Amino acid sequence: MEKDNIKMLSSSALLVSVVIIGFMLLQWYWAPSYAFTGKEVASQINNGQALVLPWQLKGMAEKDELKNYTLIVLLESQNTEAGLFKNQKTIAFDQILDKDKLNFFKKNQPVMITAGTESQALMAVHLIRSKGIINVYAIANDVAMNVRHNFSNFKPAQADMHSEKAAFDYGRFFKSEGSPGAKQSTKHEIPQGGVTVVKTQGGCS
Amino acid sequence: MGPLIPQGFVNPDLNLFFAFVIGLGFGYVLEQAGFSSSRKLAGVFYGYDFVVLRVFFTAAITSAAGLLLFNYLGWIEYDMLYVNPTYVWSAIVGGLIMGGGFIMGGFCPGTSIVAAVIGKIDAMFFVVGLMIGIFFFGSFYDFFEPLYNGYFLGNIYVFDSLGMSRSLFAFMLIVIALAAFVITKKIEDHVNGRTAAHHWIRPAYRLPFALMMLIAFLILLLPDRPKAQWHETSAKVLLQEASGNEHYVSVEELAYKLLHPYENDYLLVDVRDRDAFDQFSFPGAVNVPLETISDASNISFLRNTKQPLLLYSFGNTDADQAWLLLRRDGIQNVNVLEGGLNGFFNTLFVKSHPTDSTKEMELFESRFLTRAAEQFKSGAAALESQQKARPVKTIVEIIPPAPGKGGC
Repeated sequence: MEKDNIKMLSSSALLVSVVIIGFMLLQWYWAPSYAFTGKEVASQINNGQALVLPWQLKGMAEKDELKNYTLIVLLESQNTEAGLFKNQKTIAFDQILDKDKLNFFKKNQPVMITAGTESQALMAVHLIRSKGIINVYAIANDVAMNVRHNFSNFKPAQADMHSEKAAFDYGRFFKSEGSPGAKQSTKHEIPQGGVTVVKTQGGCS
Repeated sequence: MGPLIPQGFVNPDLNLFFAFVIGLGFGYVLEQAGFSSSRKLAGVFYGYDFVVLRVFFTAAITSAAGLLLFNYLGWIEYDMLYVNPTYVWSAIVGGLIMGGGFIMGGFCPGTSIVAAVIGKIDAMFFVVGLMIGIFFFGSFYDFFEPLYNGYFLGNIYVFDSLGMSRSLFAFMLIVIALAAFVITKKIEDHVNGRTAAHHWIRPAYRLPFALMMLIAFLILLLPDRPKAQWHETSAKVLLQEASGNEHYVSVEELAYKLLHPYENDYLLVDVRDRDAFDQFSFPGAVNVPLETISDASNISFLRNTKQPLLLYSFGNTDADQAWLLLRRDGIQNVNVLEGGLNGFFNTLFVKSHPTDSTKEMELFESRFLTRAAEQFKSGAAALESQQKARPVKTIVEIIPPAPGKGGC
């Protein structure tokens, strides 16, 4: 009896170990190549240090710190002659993960990126950082605005400007009695398989 | 995948059913392991039988190793597991009472039930004592409450209290358990007057020992999670999709769908923070802020929804970040409102809608946008959604009309 138990114990331990190590190897083979988990990249981006706001750019220019950065313009080189930096380099957005480009970013850190849209610049930063190159930053706003608002005509009113700000009093234009006051998603509020019917205040039942 | 109930794979209403099935299995295993014998159970205190210690140590290291390795492989979300809260005084006093009862009666609560069920009279007395104790505690709860709730430390982990990493703690637990197996066997042999074996580990146990040590080293050396998992989308594919701009949904399409809820198959996901969401959100939208969108519960919720997702924020920046995170996680059918809320309002309410174009399509679009803007201003979208409320898997909770208010 004891011999059987030991045999079963050995076999099950061996089976579990083989299965787990097998899955680890499969995962290692199939998983795409990233240097950070999605959550790690998200926390790098969300801590606010990945986006350089106009007033920060202005401050860097005044302290002559911009020369330490390599500026990348994610455009097909249009209207960037009067750009922000002397040594700017233009790279197409869809090529930023090419091997030579990644090597370039790695060698020329720190890097600042501006693009046709602020979103595109930050997406580029997100993808480059996920490859392990963390000294990469996106300049807030689009390249056209950054060129237009060169440092000589910097306006303090636009110091904190970036695209993630409310530009309208939304409720004034869009009457949606049901929406204000809606609750936020939390761990406990997410319905588990149930269905919730959205009902708004007033009206006929 | 797991834990199954918090992630929505198993209906919480089936909790008791699963408890029943697991309870049956647990009772069967306890009985088969010989735990219905009070002599065997009490043997651990007298040194002649350490099987209880070995069984519980085996259970602890098997579940700890399984939990950590399954978490590494992405089969279990460790962060979503329930951690029992720690009340120091009740743990100390309860532990002393249970330990005393264990030595004297030879049972712990679970094993006493198992033994009583198979007809052991001592176990039946033990269970009666157990019930009297429960009744006594319940009757004088007010008196015991300060002790019961005293010195609350929250949902803490041992390794946090000791200031060590989770993997180092698990490694040490496995090493200590394996050492305990060897030492208790030697004590047993000595107490029972058996001739002690020459080797520390019996040959038949060497393979399980070696495998357990291998697993212990894996846990120690591996990170909590790999940098990427097999189901994730590669960065190259993400870049390709982002460059193609095909994930953007136009303002016109959303405006149409908001005015025709029956044709709106999107689950609108507002990735702004709670305050902004409270100020304004589209009807039927759910709020999953960008900061928490990578949390296991949110990923699970968004992955399991049957609808295509339409993310929006003030502009495109945050929604695109959320899109990257969700797509990287392998979630399909994720879209972004082009231009965000600002783009939506700019297109509808600020931009002029020319009426003198010669192109029929442009005129049609222009007329639609003008009409849609009027509808939104008059509250038609909200009216549509309240009159024809469709079952939406949503976390939006809207206060029902107060009695006597509203209506015709």
